[in-house]
Amino acid sequence: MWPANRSLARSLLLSGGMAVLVGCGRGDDWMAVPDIPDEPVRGGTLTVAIQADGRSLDPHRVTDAAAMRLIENGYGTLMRYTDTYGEVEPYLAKSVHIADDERTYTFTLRDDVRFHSGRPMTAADVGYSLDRIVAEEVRAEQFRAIAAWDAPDDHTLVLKLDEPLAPLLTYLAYPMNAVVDREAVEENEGSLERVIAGTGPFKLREWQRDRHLILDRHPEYHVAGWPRLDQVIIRPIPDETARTTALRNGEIDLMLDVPEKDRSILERTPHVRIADVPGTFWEYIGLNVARPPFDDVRVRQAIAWAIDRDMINRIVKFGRAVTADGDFFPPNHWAYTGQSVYPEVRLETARELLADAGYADGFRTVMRVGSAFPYQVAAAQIVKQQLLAVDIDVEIISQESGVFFEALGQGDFEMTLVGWLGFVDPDEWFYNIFHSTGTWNQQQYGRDEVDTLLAQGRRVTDRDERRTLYGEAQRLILEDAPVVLLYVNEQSSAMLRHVQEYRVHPTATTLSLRETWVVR
Amino acid sequence: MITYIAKRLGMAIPVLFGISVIAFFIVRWVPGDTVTALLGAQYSEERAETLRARYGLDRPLPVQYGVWIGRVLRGDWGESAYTGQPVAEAIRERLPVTLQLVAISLTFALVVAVPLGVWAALHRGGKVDFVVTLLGLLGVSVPGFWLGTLLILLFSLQFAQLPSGGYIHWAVDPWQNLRHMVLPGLALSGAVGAVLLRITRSAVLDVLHEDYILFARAKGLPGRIWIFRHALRNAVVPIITITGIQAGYLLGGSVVIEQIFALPGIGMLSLQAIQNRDYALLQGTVLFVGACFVTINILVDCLHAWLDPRVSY
Repeated sequence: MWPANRSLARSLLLSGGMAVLVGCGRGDDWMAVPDIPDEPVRGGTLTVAIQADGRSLDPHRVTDAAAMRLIENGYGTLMRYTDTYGEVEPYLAKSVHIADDERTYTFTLRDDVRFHSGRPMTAADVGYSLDRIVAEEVRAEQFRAIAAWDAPDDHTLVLKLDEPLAPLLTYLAYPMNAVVDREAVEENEGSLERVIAGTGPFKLREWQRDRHLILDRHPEYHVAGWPRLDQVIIRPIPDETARTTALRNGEIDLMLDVPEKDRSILERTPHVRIADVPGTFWEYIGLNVARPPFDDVRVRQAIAWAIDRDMINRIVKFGRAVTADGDFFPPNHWAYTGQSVYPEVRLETARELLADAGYADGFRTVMRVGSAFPYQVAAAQIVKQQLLAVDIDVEIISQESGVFFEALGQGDFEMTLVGWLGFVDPDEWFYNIFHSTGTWNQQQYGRDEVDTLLAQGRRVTDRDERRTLYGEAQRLILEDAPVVLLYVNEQSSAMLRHVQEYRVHPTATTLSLRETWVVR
Repeated sequence: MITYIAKRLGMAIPVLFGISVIAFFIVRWVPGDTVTALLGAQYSEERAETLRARYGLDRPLPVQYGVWIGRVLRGDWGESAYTGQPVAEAIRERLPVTLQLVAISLTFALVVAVPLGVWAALHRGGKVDFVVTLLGLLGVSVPGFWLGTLLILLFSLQFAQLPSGGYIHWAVDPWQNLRHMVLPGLALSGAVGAVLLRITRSAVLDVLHEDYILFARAKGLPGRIWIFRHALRNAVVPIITITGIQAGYLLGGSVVIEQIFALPGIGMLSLQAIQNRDYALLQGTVLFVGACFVTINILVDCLHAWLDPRVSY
């Protein structure tokens, strides 16, 4: 018969091999909560986890958030976001002068900026980059107003506009509207798909798709003393549990998202810190004003009055989102007014409005949601429950996201629950979505006063004046209720406690990595 | 033998043709297309039309299929609409990862399943048999993604420091490569190991009833001789057949495991292709995996014929 002791020996051998394999880890030093020195330490490597790999490395072509995370620290832009949401400051430019007619922008460029190739950056490179952005089409719209650029000398760039364009400086701060090295583009036959040819604090060492992207310190970065890190490794880890585990056991130092299901585990992990800031992702109920019964403003207002935003926030977002009923902007945005249009739930008002509109007995309708966004499906189910109180019976249809967005784009829906993200200048919230000619005016909304206000907002550069204009525009829009605002989400990241001075930005950009340092 | 192989290869052609047709049409049957996936929330009619024209998606389906298969036959597998990377290059880049993963999990499965299967067969009806059969049942029933997550929580968090995922090329650091492959290999081997365990057990049981085993034991051969030389050797044919088929299934199973362990293999590539409705890439990977499956089957058949001279060509 099979000797029992031999099989025992075999299994011991197996588990022994396992023990050898597991025995050689990274050590336990990362687990201790470190003493933070007063002075930042230079050097070291930081490993960052993202959810998926990027499409390509060409800043002027990519549209996916993952690709932006890979390349934004390799490039520089004329302007740059500050920590105040919506605000920008000169970056590769030293200063900017806007002529009185607001059609001529004169940028004085820094004279100490060098590309990763070592070549100094000139005004011609900046102009070339603007031309390339337009030629690549993806964001051509943002710079369509630029009639011509001129570089009177190496460090002066003059932009001439057909018409005033208030968001221009914000667009110039968008990390993907990067200044690229013209010579490097030409060397690579016009393609930046696999190289980084910028002026940013980190330069590309290697990119292996779905494995990692390694960035090395750019020694000639124009800000003295920065970047502090020697190396940044970006790793795509698609599975949420695997990503969270990698942080908890110290394989990575920073994860740019915090999966909701793992938040409480991370909060209880002593050597991990979570940082949150109200972000760009806002969600709403969209009502197609071209289709009955939502062509009647009273029906739309009734829904806005009947929705309990706090409850949806509590159930779906664990109360972490900032509810909104009268202001599209989160409180950390300069354009935030704090106004309120539907300050509380008023079921009586909703019922009266419905009765006036001829729907005293309610109606049945269909709400489309994207199955790729489970939190929106969940929110839709609560909305369905809440609207039953005013006898509106909503059927929820959950669709694959490509199909879902195609239907929205074609205006083929009655109700939806969806969101936008990534906006920085107020114009981005409103012009494309609520102007009667807007590209993504899915709700088919249009009102002359709003069109006028949005057109004005696009031309005026004074911030206070713009806040007033947009405050008025959003009040009108929300009173017409083509959308019922729900909330603005947080932008969260989790990191080991030894990571210092990584600041979570509302737009999710990781540009603060140049200042980040690690305690070893 | 040569005619046998030639015949099998000849039969593979209609199979591959069928796979190409199914791969092509089934992805187009699914709602949404490359363009809706590319545009996402920023869908607008004009942009969609421009892009559809650019990728040739506005042409009739049979024409699209003809263009694609014509190029594939000439060795041009096209480019990913999402990343712009040539499909052949993408597959070449990912293949070693998946092959290694499949090899490791197959090794795990064989090393554990065959001895256990033999052991259970020898103790048929006893406690050992019961435990081993239960183990087999468990292995078949536990889904790979659950086992994978559990292994991560157990071995990279609770107990020790095996990496939770990622890939290091064996040429860069063989030791690290191995450490990164252990958990995904284990997770993937669960179901296959269970199948092999049951096959081994029943194959050995069949053989144990043969007269020559009775004879071998009656003449007093020691256990290691009659078990290994007489019983296992005769039971090995079905085990090899099933191993071959399972190797093919492992290619499919790797889709989930690679996603969980962030392994940049063929499985992750196909999943991305599905998510992005990346037609050329998806058709390419499906056709490639199909071809692998067919090849493995031919190899197994040949091996079968070689091992057992009674198999007629």
